[in-house]
Amino acid sequence: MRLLFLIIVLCHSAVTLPAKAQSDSAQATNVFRRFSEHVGKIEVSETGSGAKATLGSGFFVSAAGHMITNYHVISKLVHDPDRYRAELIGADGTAHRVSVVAVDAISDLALVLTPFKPKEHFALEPVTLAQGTRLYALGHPRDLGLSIVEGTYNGLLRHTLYPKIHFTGSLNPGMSGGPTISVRGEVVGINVSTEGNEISFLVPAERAAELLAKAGQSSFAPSKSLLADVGRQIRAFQDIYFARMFTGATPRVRLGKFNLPTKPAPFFKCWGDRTRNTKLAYQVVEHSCSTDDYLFISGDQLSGIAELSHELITTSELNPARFYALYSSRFQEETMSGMYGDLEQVTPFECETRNVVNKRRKLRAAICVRRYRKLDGLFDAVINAAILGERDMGLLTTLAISGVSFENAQRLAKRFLESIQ
Amino acid sequence: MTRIVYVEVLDERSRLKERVKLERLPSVIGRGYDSDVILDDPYVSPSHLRILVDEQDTLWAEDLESLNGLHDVSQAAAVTRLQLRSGTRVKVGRTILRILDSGHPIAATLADTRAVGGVRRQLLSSRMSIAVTVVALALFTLLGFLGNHEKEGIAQSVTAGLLIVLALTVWAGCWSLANRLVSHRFNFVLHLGLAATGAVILLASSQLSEWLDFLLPAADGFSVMDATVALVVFGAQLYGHLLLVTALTHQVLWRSASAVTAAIAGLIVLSVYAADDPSVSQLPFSATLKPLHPRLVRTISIDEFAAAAGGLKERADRVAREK
Repeated sequence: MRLLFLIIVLCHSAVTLPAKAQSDSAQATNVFRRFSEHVGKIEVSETGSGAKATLGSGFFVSAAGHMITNYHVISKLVHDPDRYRAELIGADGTAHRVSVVAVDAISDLALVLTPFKPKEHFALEPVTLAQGTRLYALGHPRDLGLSIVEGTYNGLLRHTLYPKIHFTGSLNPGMSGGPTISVRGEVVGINVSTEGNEISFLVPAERAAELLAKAGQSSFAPSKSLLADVGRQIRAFQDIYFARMFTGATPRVRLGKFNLPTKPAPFFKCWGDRTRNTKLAYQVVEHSCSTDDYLFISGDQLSGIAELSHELITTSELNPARFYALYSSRFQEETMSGMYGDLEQVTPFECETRNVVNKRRKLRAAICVRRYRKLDGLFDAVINAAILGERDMGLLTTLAISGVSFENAQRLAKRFLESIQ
Repeated sequence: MTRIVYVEVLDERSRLKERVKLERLPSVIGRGYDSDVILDDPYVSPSHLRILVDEQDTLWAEDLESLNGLHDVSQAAAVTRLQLRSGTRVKVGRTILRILDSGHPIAATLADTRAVGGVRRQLLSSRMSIAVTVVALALFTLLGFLGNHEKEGIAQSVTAGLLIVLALTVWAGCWSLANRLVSHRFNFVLHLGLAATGAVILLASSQLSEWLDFLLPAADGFSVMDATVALVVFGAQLYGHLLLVTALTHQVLWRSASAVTAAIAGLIVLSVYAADDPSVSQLPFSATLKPLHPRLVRTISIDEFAAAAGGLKERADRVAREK
């Protein structure tokens, strides 16, 4: 799964760290000595068997014993509070029950309350850094004990679902939820994921500060259902996130005689390719854009993924009847990629198909939706269309969006189908 | 007046093997070539018995000192001389003979409700059967070619067409064997014609439903229509094959064909339900595209489409509630 690849993939470069660390070993040693007690190991285990289900890290952010960790570390507890429990594991191996106070599923953060009253904790204050600043990530990689990883700050990423800091350093499974700090102990971000080869990502510390502040407000009342909170957050988020798609000046791309939308929002990345296979009686040009990012809902379900793809098929060898047999079979093969979830999380797709007309063209269009079973009002939607009426060329196009309200899916389908020229 | 007598030669299971008119009386029956009726039975003597008529015009059978004797079937006893009435059965060797007068009563003539001859003449003539098979081969090859986008499309579709005709031949062959076992005739060409007719109807129905599906995407149920046509064709085929093979009446044939078809339909429905493991990743939309001039394709506006899609929410909600 893509998710596991991102979070759990092992970075190969860990072995290079000792050599790097030598140059700044004194500083790293200092940082570790001063701040190691601020960081803890968080385990989620199954209540019945006591078996460990997930392992992550967290760090103290209040004198009252609050810790910040990742939402994905404690998500099992959010989905199934009767079946799982979360514990803070002390240096001596003793387990102390912790409770989840609030979650920010969009930023993959959670605030938990421990029974400890730490003498010292991290302050979540704004920090300004220059690219290349040396940073130190703390956490429990693969349950090997608290470790420190050196790396560099490479700025805030654009084109992601939610702001992320690009951290060049090796984050490993188990470090999720731990802090990445400057040499002075300022929290820069929270370890969240890695793509391997020292490309790692942090949630900006401001997001954690907001979550802590919200929980500290006098009006704050702990939610009865954190899962309902997750649903509300994703619904509110997609309203803003997808609202921008296919509005205003969406860039256009020309495939054959067709004029099509591309890069529907700035956070999309686009690619193109052409197949040239002399054994085939037709040629295909592909153009696709995707968000390349996701929201974690549970170990089996991701959301916030959007993909747009166009496929131009042309032929000079097939007669119209044969070409349309090909065209139909490729249209039939259009499936959504990048959407996860099983029957526990989502319903099977339901579709509606029509022959439609926009300002310029007639299309065969289908919209398919499936509902999230546990998060009210959220759907995955796939809109497929094939341009009709050409004898020797055809265009298939697909827009797939996950974690969207039905009304937004309908609205986007309209804008998308209108934009195919 | 000369008396006309017939001898019917029956096998051990009393099925008629031969019927011989006695040219004169007395007549000798035996295995020898000088007999008036020659019996091909090793247990029969060369001159086994004689059939004669006396002055009172009574018919008699007389044993000619045969090795295995003459037996009265109704008495199950060996006799040397036996008075014959029309219909009397005697056993010689392992052969049963039934002696009949020309005035022997026969059963009333049956009215022919099956009209096999009629069906054959109109629908199932050999010539017609061959023509339908050739049409099936041509259609399957043509549609196979039009549905194929490989460069070697022609060769592939000819092969596919021939394979389908081969499958029909095997099917017809099986029925022919059954036919031969039951009624001593193969009727192969007729069976093949029936099978080819069914295949052509199925092909036409699937083409029709594809076009309807393309032109009327909002209407559901073309696949159900296809399946229904397939079942009806199957039932009719079964009826036709059984009509050729057996001597059953129309009513029995219809009932048998309908029962088998209904049973198969039931099994299909059951297997569909048993395999009802819904996938969460398949997109069940209708992807049929046809090379029709856009002016001939009826369309709706995007707004109307979005409104039509509104029902999906309720459908998805209902599915979510169901499980």
